[in-house]
Amino acid sequence: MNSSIVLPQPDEVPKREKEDAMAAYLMNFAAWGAGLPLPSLNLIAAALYYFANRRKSRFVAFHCFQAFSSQLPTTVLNVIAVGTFIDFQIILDKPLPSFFWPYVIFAVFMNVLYLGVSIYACVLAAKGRVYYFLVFGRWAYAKYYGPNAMPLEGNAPRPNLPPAGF
Amino acid sequence: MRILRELLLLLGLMGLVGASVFGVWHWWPSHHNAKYAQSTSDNLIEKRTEGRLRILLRREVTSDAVQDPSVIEGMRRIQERIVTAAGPTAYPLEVFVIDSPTVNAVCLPGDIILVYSGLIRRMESAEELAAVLAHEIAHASHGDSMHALERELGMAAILTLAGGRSDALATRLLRRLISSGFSRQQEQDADKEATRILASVDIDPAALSDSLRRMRQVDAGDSGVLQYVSTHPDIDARIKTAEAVSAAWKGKSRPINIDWQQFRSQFRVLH
Repeated sequence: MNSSIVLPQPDEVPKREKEDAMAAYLMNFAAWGAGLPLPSLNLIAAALYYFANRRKSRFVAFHCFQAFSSQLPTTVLNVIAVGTFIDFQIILDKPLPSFFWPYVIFAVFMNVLYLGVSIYACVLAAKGRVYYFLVFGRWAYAKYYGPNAMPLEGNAPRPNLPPAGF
Repeated sequence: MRILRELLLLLGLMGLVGASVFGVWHWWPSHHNAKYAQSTSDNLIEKRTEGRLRILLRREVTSDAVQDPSVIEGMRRIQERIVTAAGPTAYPLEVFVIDSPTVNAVCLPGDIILVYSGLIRRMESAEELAAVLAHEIAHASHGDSMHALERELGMAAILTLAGGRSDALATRLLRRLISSGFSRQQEQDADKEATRILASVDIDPAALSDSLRRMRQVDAGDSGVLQYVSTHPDIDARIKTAEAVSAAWKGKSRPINIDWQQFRSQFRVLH
């Protein structure tokens, strides 16, 4: 067991790291507005933020990686929507296919859902907590803490725990 | 593997949301036009019935339609220009030219549009014909034909008609449809949509008021063959509305690539 990898508790995370972790999610929101016409822009911004901050600490790297990787599904959905629109309306100069608008509603719904979860994760990160997104949380945890990471010993309450199964 | 379970859960969630949105969109009766919404079950019956009517009417219309390749090509060019901006229709839109002195254009159930050569001969430009087509296409995308037929005959009668196989029945139904008109509100909505379509494809919405004015002008001398005015009420008010839209239009008109005089001269002089 590698005891040097520990899952920090909120009071053990320095304020600066909490801010950096929180900023990983805020980065997504900031890039969202600019990324609407070019949906891959927020993914690039999140990737840049991740690569710039991944060596700061495991806590920061975990949140940056989770914020970056969890954008993949919504980015794919958005790229398909914008790509279809450009393809049909600008390149082919044809009417939009019948599936387009229900697809856009679906993509918007998924984006809003993702936005909500991201805000929640952002608030927890600011408090020094971890929140695990479906799939991407577990992936980020496996990448930066792994199965051997342990919460620090002691009687103090430990809100940060590994995802179930680790 | 828990990560696989979570991946399946995520994909399942996305699938569920996607299927719900697509399902609601597909079956929602009013996504084309909320004003004419009916219950979902009514809409389903209506759509199926419209499909049957389409087969019946298409067979009836095809035998009378002009088959000249240059006419078909000319109509295709005009239709192609405007259809890019038109709303979705339940069935593939089909435009047939009927060689007849009648001055009329009709939208039938099943998204079939009839344009009489009498009307084509009255038009002074391809853009004017495009405006008439845009108006009829708007009726098609609003589903007006079925609503009008239902209002006139009732759903039970339509179902009986749609279940029929005889050509005589189809001929009678076609006659009935051609002579019946739409409501004032449906006409106003179709005009509004037509001017939007025209403006979107760089045709001055004045083409609609010009075409309406031309049909109104011939009314006095040709009332025997002019059906358009009788089946399309409030022509003066509609001209004024289209003129107002045109006055507010800031776009630049781009002509339809067709030799209009040559195209128009292909139709026999019947009147």
